[in-house]
Amino acid sequence: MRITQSMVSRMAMQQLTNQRGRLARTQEQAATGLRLNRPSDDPVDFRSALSMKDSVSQTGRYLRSIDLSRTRIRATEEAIASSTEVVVSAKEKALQARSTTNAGAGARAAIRVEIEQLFDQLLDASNTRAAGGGYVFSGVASDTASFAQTGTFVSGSPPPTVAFAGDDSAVAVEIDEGVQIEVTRSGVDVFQGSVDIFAVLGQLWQGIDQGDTPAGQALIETAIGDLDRALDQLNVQRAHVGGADAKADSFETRLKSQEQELITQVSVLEDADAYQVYSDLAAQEAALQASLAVTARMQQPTLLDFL
Amino acid sequence: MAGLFDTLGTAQRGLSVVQSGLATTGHNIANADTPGYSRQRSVIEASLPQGTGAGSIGTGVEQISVERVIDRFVAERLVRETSRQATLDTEASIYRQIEAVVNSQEGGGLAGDLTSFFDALQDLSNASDPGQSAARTQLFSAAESVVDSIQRYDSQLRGFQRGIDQGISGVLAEVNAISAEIASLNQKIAAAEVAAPANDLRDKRDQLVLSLAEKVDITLVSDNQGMLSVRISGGLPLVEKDIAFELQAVVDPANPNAFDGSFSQVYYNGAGSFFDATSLIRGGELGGLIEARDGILAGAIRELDAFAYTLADRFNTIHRGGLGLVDGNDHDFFADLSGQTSVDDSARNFALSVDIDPSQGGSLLHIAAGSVPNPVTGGPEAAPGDTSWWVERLNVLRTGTGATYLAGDVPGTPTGTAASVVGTLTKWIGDIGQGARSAERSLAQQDSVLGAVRDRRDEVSGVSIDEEVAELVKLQASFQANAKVLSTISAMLDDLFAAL
Repeated sequence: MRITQSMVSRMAMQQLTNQRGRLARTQEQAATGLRLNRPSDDPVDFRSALSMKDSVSQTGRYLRSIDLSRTRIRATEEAIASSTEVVVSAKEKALQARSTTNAGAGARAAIRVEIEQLFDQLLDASNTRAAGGGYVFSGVASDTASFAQTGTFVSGSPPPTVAFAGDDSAVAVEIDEGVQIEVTRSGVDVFQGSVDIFAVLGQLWQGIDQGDTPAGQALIETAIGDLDRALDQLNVQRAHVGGADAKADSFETRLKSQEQELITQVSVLEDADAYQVYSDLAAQEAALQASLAVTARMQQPTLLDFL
Repeated sequence: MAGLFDTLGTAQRGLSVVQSGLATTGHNIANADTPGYSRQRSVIEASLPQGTGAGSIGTGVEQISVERVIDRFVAERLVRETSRQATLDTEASIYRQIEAVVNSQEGGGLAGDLTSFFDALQDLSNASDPGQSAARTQLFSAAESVVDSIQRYDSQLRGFQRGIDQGISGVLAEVNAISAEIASLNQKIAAAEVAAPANDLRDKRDQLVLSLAEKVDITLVSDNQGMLSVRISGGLPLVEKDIAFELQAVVDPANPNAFDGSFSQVYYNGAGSFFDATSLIRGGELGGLIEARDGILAGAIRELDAFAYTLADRFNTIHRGGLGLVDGNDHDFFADLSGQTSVDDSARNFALSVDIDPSQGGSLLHIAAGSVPNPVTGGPEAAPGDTSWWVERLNVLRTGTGATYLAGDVPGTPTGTAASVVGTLTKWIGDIGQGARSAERSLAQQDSVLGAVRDRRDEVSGVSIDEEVAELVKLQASFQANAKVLSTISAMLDDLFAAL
């Protein structure tokens, strides 16, 4: 084979170009830390990485959903808890009222005022708003106050009534594919279910207002029984909220580990193997330097040098 | 019987052959690095002997010609492989540019915008404030980003197409210039070769042929006068002996074969005929550019169109079922493109619907978030706290498979196999990556094929300094020997004259 000058120089240039190309690739991987810097680096893995990243995003969305659901769950839970306190206090007052039946009008009047305050507290709790201003017990009609009071407490008159003004529904959010939790409770179920707690308080107030009469006593007695049932009703609702919270917690744990798993898989697909990259880098740099050294000496001796 | 003067003539001819050998060697050394130069060789032989009674006596050496050392087969391969390499190089560079547009690794691109859009939808279904005004605004701006991305991809890809179209006109001008030059060289070579091989002119013409092969795939036919005819595929002559024909860029919106009326078609103008030869052009930079413009880029754009249409269609179908905060249901979210004759151009026309976009008189309150009419007012609008519409539907949109449009489909009759929105986009990006990778690989392979052919050419036709210097040494010795003969005869003649 004849070896001619142009062949030698072209081969050397071709080698240098190839080596620089390979080195540039490796340097890019080292700089970005990614094996997949563009779709053509590995089209199949790139596609897998893209759809896996989409799954990561979706998992992130569910986690965010869980985060956001908490504000309403908390608000609902606190409202029910404070309603429970109201009912417990009301029952104490009712028992007091029963035993102080003979103790005179002054003591009863004081208890009556306390019942009025408890009634207001309950109304406040029933009209709880979550962050963002939505009424948690109004269902989808979240801009409407859940309960509206008609009338006021006037001794000798019937107690005020409270009517539900929202929508009788609970709001559900999706926290995983096909999995929903209710982040609020229906106001009707909580406050005016089998027991209308407002009415019971009204009844109690009326019983106390009517003083030491058989009718009054009867009202107080009924109210005491109803307050126990109201407590049960609230506890059941609170258990529902607690259940949603627990479900959110368990899905959060699961989704987080799922997200981690997916992120690991994406990383396996698109991240460069650091050790591999750095050792390649070193090897390719050395090879390039060798080539450069060889090319520098490419002005190879010819016969002329010996004549 | 040969006389002293005859031998003097022999020595003198020997000297002159040595000198012309020197000239050839010098020429070779001088052109050792000239591109396309083929080394030359003096062809010499013993001159006709003189017949005498005692037999024939030699009369020395004579130079027959100076010829190029070439391998015809390699020359032909070089033309073919150069053409192929130019095509692949053009395609690979186009793919690199397309890939840079759609690469989601930098800044997220359309895939990232789509993710943010889905995020915003999820947030809308989780919004706890009555009316969800923040979530609606967020969804609107995420949707605007999706619209912007699709339109930006479209306009960037179309910009490349436009640039390539201009490139085609430029290449045609070069092709015509080279053809004309080859035709004129043909004439010069035919004239010169009446006397002797026109080596350097032929080298020059071979170089021009290679340059032409870089532009377009050609076949060569040579005649006995030394003229070289050049044809492009379809047998159309670009150069016929000493006449060159032209390829012209013509913008003809009326041409039914024109891929896009505003782009140039390649017309053949020769021998009284003038017609669209675009489909006949293969190979070379020109073939690569036409394929890139009408094939690769057009395909990528049309697939983007199909994706845009599919996205708008699927999203609107779901969106129309949900309830906004005013006017109830049946509002499009993205502009309805079903009035188009095909899904082509959907990316260019992709926009938010007039019902939604405030800048077109729409309202964000039309964004469907709810599923049941407001129980308080009786509807038709959704209750302000009703955000149930996208619960479970976001996934249907994102990963659910449904009617998928392919490039050129008629709205209403999708022909694609069922696929998800995300899957369709991922596939589009992956396909471009696959194309870029194959182009890159083919180019690398072709580089090595072409390298091998060039090596073979240089092995045969390249100048080796060693050889030439050895030749010089030989010629020097030969010169000395011939000079010795000359001086010997001169001395003998002196003796002769002294004796007289």
